[in-house]
Amino acid sequence: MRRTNALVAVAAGLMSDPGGRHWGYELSRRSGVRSGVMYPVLQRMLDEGWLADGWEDQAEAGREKRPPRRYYEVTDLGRSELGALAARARADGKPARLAGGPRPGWAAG
Amino acid sequence: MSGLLTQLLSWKALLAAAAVFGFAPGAALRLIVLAFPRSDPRRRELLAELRAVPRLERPVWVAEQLEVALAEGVAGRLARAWRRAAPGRRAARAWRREKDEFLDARYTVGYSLTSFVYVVGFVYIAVLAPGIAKAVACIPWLALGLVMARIHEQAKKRLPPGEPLPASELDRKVFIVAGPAVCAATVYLLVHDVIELASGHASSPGYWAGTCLCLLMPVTPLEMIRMSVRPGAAASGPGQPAES
Repeated sequence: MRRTNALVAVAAGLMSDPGGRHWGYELSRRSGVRSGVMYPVLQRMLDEGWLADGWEDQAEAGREKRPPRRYYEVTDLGRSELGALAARARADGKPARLAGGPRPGWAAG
Repeated sequence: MSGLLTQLLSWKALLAAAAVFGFAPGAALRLIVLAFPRSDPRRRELLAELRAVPRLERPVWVAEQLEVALAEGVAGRLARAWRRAAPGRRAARAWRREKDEFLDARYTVGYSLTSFVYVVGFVYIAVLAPGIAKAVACIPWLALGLVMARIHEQAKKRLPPGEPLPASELDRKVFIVAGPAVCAATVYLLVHDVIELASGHASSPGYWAGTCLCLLMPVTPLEMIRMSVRPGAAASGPGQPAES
């Protein structure tokens, strides 16, 4: 996969919580990548097998009176690939946002 | 470009964008996600994500999704449509290959030449030829055109390759009658034009062009006769073209 800034930023966003579930909007905020760019990147990662996706529990979403959301989880393969990407970005001296550092004004969660 | 920018920055466009994306982002998003194929999970995902976006950010977020839908949804649909049409394209290519084997270069070039001369000759006869020649040349010329179109249609349908061109007995009779008639009419037209030019009654470019065309007109019947005889087709039986 071609290594773009957006890819590295999304990888860093995902690797900030490699075992957790990631939601589209939150991930977009965390990685600082516009959603218009992020979704195609996520699709490529899904195609590569770096991510797995699923849908939120219907009952849980129903309690909040909203439709269930789609989440993304990093797979074992993704963990190694995305980790390597983020590490390389850090080694290349990419900005903190791309390399997985905390984004000013954003509390990961 | 400046016109486009002016439009974009006009208060009407701004108001329309605010109305669409600001007051009804959900409705706008529902329309936008239709660009994705029915099976694409992005349809449900984006609608669900909208609830997670703060209200103030929603107009911009929805506008971003329009970009994604246009870039991925529409492009994806086009790509899928192209892939779905692949078997049809392959069949069309195979059909064309089969036809091309039959419609060999000799025939195709011959047909193109005769068609070209035919159309130009028809225009000449209909527009420029004097009264008698027009009457004499028109009927055999039309007959030749009909036979030519029929042979071409038959040739396109006919398989397998390597057989003589489908000139029937009737076609050959039309060649035999119409061919000389066209040649005679052509000679008359040529002589008429030369006399007109020599006497100074006519010197327009149209006459000169017509005179040159007269020299080409016999190409049509002669070429058709040549096309109907395949090289090496020595035996001539029923349905086979006769030696001219």
